[in-house]
Parts: sequence; C-alpha cells; structure tokens
Amino acid sequence: MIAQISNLLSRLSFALTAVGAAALLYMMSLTVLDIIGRSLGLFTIDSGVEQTEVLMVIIGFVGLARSVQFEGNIVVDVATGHLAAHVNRLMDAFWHLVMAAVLTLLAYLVFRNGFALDAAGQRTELLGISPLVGHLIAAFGMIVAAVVAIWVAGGIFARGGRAPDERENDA
Amino acid sequence: MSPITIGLLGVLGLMVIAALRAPIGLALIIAGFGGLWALLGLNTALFVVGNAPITAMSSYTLSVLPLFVLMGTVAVKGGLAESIYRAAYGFIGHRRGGLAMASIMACGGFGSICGSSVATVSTLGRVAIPEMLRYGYSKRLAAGSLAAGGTLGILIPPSVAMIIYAMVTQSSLGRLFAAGIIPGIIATAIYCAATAVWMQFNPAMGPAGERTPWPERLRLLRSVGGIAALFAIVMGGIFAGFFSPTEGASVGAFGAIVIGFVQRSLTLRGLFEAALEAIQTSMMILFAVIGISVFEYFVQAARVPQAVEHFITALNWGPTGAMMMILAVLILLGCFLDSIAILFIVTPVIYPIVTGYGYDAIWFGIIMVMVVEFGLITPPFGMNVFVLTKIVPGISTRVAFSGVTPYILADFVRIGLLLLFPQLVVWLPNLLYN
Repeated sequence: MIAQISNLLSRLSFALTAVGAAALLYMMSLTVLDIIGRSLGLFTIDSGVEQTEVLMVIIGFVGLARSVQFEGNIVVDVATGHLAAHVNRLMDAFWHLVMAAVLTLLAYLVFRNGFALDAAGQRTELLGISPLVGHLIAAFGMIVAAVVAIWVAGGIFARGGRAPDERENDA
Repeated sequence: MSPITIGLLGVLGLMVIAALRAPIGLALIIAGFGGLWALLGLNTALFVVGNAPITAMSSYTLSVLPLFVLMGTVAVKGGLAESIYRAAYGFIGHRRGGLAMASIMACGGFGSICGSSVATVSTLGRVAIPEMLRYGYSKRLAAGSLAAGGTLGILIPPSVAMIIYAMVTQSSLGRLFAAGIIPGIIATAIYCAATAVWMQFNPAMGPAGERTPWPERLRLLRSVGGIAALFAIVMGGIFAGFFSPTEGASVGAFGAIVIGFVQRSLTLRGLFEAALEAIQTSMMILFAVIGISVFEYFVQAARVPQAVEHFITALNWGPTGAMMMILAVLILLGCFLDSIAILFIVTPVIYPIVTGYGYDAIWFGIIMVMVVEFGLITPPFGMNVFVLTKIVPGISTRVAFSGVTPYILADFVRIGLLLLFPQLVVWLPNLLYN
C-alpha cells in the first residue's frame, strides 16, 4: 500500500514536471515563430505575451511537486552543517511539513481569488481566458506539492532521519 | 512596537529561519507573512500572500529565466562544453599551465551560453580535470583553476544571478547583460594571468601539453563557430533592440537545440531531459521569487531600507565608506550563504541605500554578482569546490580550497579595478543604450 502511494505520487510529480517541460518548449517555439514571422513580415502572434503569461503560471507551479520530492530548493546550512546527518534530515522533515501547510494555505487563497476574479468578469484581453484557468493550475500544483511534502516528511520520520540506503544497510 | 522594530525583527527572523535549513522561498514567505501580519493585520497579510504567487509568476519578463536555463541545460546535454574546451586547449594547451588556462577560457566560453556556475563547473570538470591529471598537473592547480573558472558562468551573460538582480530591483536586464561582458573578459584574463604567475613560481605543477598543429587548431575553431554565432546573435539581438531578453532567451535555447541536433550530440530524449532539468532548476528560483514578492512588500511597508540608510548615514563614513562596508558584509555573507540566497535576501534592503548614495544601479549589480560569487570558491561553503570534489573523487576539499587561493587574490585585484574604474562596467551599456 505504502509503495503504491509512493509510486503514484512519484508518477504524478513526474507527469506534472513533464507538462511543465512541454509548456517550456512550447513557449520557446511560440516566441521563435513570432520572431521569424515578424522578421519576414509574414505574421505576428498578437497573443504571444498573453500565452506566455499563462504558460509561466503552468511552468511555475507544475514542477513544484518534483522540486519538493527531490528537495531541490535552495537551503542554507550555516548553523546546522556540523550537526549529525540524521538531525539535519529530521529538520528537513519538519520544514517539509511547514512547507505543506504554507502551500495548502496559498492554494486555498489562490483558488478563492481565482473564483472572485472570474465572478467579477475579468478576462485576458485577446484570448478571453478566465483567470480561473491559471489560478486552478497553480492551486492544483501547490496541493500536489503539499501532499508530496507530507509524504517525504513522513518517510524521513519513519526512518528516524536515516537515509534510505542506511536503513537497507542496517537490515 | 514601531514599524521599524517589526521590520528589523522580520529581517532577523528571516536570517534565523534560513539558517535553520528552511528552503529560502519558504523562509521569505514565512518572514514576510509574519511581518505583514504584525504590521498591517491578518487580512492585509492574507491578501498580499494570496495574490503573490500568481502575480509573481504570470510575468512575461520572468519567462526569461526558464528559457535561459533551458539554453544552459541543452548546452550541457548537447556536449557543447567539450568542443569549447578542445578549441581552447588547441591554442594554449602546449604552454606551461596551458591546460588550466584552457579550462578557464572554456569556462568563460561556456558561461556565454550557460548562466549557472555550478553547471559550468560540473560540466567542464568532467572534461578538463581528468585531462589535466593525465598530463601530470597538480591536483591543486587542476581543482583551483576549474572551481575559480566556474564562477565566470554567472558573470558572463546570460547569467541567472543577473536575471534575479534585475527582477528584484526592476533594472534593465539588457543593460546588465551588456555591463557583464567587459568584467567577464577581464575576469577570464586575470584568472589566466594568475595561472601564468603561479607557474613562474612553481612550474612543475602544470607541465606543458602537446602542441596542436595549425590545421587542427582551425578545425577546432570552426567546431565552436556555431556557439560563438549563437552568443553573438542572442546578445547582439538584445543589445541592438531587435529582441527583448525573453525573445533572446528563446532564440538562444532554440539555437542550442539546433546546434546539438546538427552536431548529432543531442537526441530527442536528451532534449526532453534538458527541458525537465530546466523546469527543476527554474523551480528552485521561481519558488524564491514568490517568497521575495511577499518579503519585499513587508520590507518596504516597514521602511527597513530607510532605517538602515539612517544608520549608515549616522556613521558619517560617506558614500565610499558605506560602499566598503556593504561589500565587506556581502563578502562575509558570501562565505556562508548561497549566492542566489544573498541576492534574494539582501538586495531589497541594500539596493535603495546604494542608489540613494548616487551609485549606478547597473554598476552595483555587476559588483554585487562578482562579490557574491566569491562565496562559490571560499571556505567553508564554496559550492563550486564541493561540486568538483564530488565529480572528481581523487581531489579532497582541502586541496581544492588551497588551489583556489591564487584566484581569490586575483578576484580582489579585479574587484579593486572595477571599483576604481566604474567605466569598465558602465561604458558598454551606456554606449549601447544611451
């Protein structure tokens, strides 16, 4: 059961990052196409800026879960570098739980703001995209990241702060 | 409690939380949110925090970051670093210490398509260090030249550090990129000169390599023609106003992909992996961008920069004294904090002070990037040194740190030069943009 949940979360975070990667390559292609069209005097992609802004929301939030999973955030270990490895791991687990709480709060606030803006009739100028689209993507990305953070923290606590391979060696 | 007391407690709180291993983005959000709650009440704090993520992310200007990171990851996957190193080796590898100089020049060349120091060190370290050891180079020289050369990655545009500085201070990214070119060339030349001087005192550390015949040199030069053209097109396009930085980044990433496919060093799978890596690297910074948007709001609301400015003014050291003090603090922080973390934490506080004293924002941006990059090679937390010792198992941290010492001295010379002659930094951006 635990392995299945772990596998599911891992696949979900990878799939979300893959969506982000596709969005990034699309964003690049869109801009290059616009430059080529503009340079040759053939066409311009007027909605390029709007699309880029929406794509940035996708890129900015869908990769969050994988970043949390592999502890890819910038961490400063000035005061804790000399402590035992398992103590540092336990502190990491604590911050993962705090991260989960903060991301959940942010997701709720973003979700609520998205509905409020949509109800007020706000839309993008050229494509008429509702703000709810970006807000829902962001909230979903943050919720998945929060679940992954809890899962990672749980794993660290369950091993008493030891790295997975240490546990295997003990066994 | 007065707003300024809350402000200073907030900054102190941020330092404490960050020092206790909290991810920097999370530390910024917590300190900013807590400070805003104490200062303006819970509802305002929730409003700011609720709006920050989408407002910070849905920015056209910010898209330059993942696109330049993609250009760098594609360059790494496409093996472009190796051809730059081979070309540099072809020209100066036969001199004493030549391989170390070639590594430094390759770092500078690779820095022109990859904006990350760590990526530069880890990519070129795998190529250059085994080669240097094979020719009997001392481990100190091999590790020192590579770790120091790696810092050129964030000085020569495109640079992730400059993008962050531009984002936090709302400065022109094009001007910053232009301003980084001459200091980048000077840095490369001074590092090579430091190697040559070192060889005068200890020639056995870096024996001469094999001489490359001229036809082969020209062939090697041709092999990096695409990369040089890419840099020229991207930066030239941005400086000429033909591209915005975002467009330049897109063209750069696209060009790196084309070069990779033409040279058959990049596969579709490699491209996908590069894009995945770009997302993960960007996330590390983008999450901090969300945090900084909250924290900066708090710092401004609490008028922290004004309080620090009053403090510095009261010391009566004048602009030069104040600048020396700021640089000393930055160098000290650089020894303990990640360069990106310093840019995020310190810039909102010191930028208004520096510009208030009449210093040029672009000049200070370059000086700040150079000073914080110190931390990448200085003990006890020199990231470039740790990366090197990880990828080259035979080199200990102690040896690597002793190897960077001559280059740290060279850094002081370089920073002194740019402090004494600010025109070296601002001349090119002024020429291009005024």
